[in-house]
Amino acid sequence: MDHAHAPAEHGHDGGHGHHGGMSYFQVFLILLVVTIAEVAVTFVPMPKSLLIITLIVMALYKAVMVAYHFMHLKFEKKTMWLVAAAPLFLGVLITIGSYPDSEKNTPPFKKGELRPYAPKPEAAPGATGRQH
Amino acid sequence: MSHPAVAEHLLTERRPLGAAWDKLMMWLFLGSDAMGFAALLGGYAALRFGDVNWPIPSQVLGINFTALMTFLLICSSVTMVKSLEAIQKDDRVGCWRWLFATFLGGVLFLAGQCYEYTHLIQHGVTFSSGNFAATFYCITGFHGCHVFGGVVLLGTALARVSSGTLTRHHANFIENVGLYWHFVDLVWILVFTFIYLV
Repeated sequence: MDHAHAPAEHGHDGGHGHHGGMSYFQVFLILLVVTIAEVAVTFVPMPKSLLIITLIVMALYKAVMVAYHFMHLKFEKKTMWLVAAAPLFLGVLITIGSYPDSEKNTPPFKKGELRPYAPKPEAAPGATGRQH
Repeated sequence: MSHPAVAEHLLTERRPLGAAWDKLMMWLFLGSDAMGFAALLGGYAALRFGDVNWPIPSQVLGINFTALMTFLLICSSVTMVKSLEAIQKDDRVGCWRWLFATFLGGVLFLAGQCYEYTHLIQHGVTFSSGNFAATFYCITGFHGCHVFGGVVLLGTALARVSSGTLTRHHANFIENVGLYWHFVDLVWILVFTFIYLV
């Protein structure tokens, strides 16, 4: 269904490559510099948690730059931003939600058996629910 | 109003979220597709949290090579927006050239991924090597499938521009292909961070 809407749907920029005061080339340079910084920062001695936070912040910044400038989210209504942001919210939610089942909180896995759930001694006999 | 006129009116005048229908559908598709990636990365995090045997990615994977692949995808995103810019000015030759550069970027990325997989498999890192390898192949493979889909889409766009059936009046087709391609780039930025760097 690609019958003619206006060629430049939001009258973006008249073809000058400037979006929000930043040209595509400038966006490209920023993405390039941040990518190099990401690789470089892994060589800097620092606590693991700080490194992870730094890397996630840089990755999210790059992702926002791509969505905002290249995907023209800048020109969309704020409600469209919700469509774009919903998966990010789900990603955080699913990570937090699955944390109790993470490696850290479950006993070591032994080859050849299903991952056992720790038996609950206080469970009443004949209680329904998950089989231990 | 006749039925076709009503349909035309609905398609062109009603703009939910202020976007054309086809663009809105592309955004909704990308939103749902991103949820797939979010679930995969969430599962990856759950497997990785506190796993003392989890290898340091940089000791197994080629970070510099992958950074180069990331650079390639970023470049292809720039060429993609340039092709949209060209078709909006009815510059079909320019559009074709930028599209071809994007297409080439996608093909090279896939070639790089094939090289990386071959190298890893030769060194004994296979899908069944453990959670690290399984999640690595699953997530990067899922992304690679998206790149392949993008390359096919770009090939279609190239064919349409070549045949002269795609003009400035169909710029929204290029815009939607571009949305998909930038999404592939955006997801790779996150995959690169979580799988390779963290």
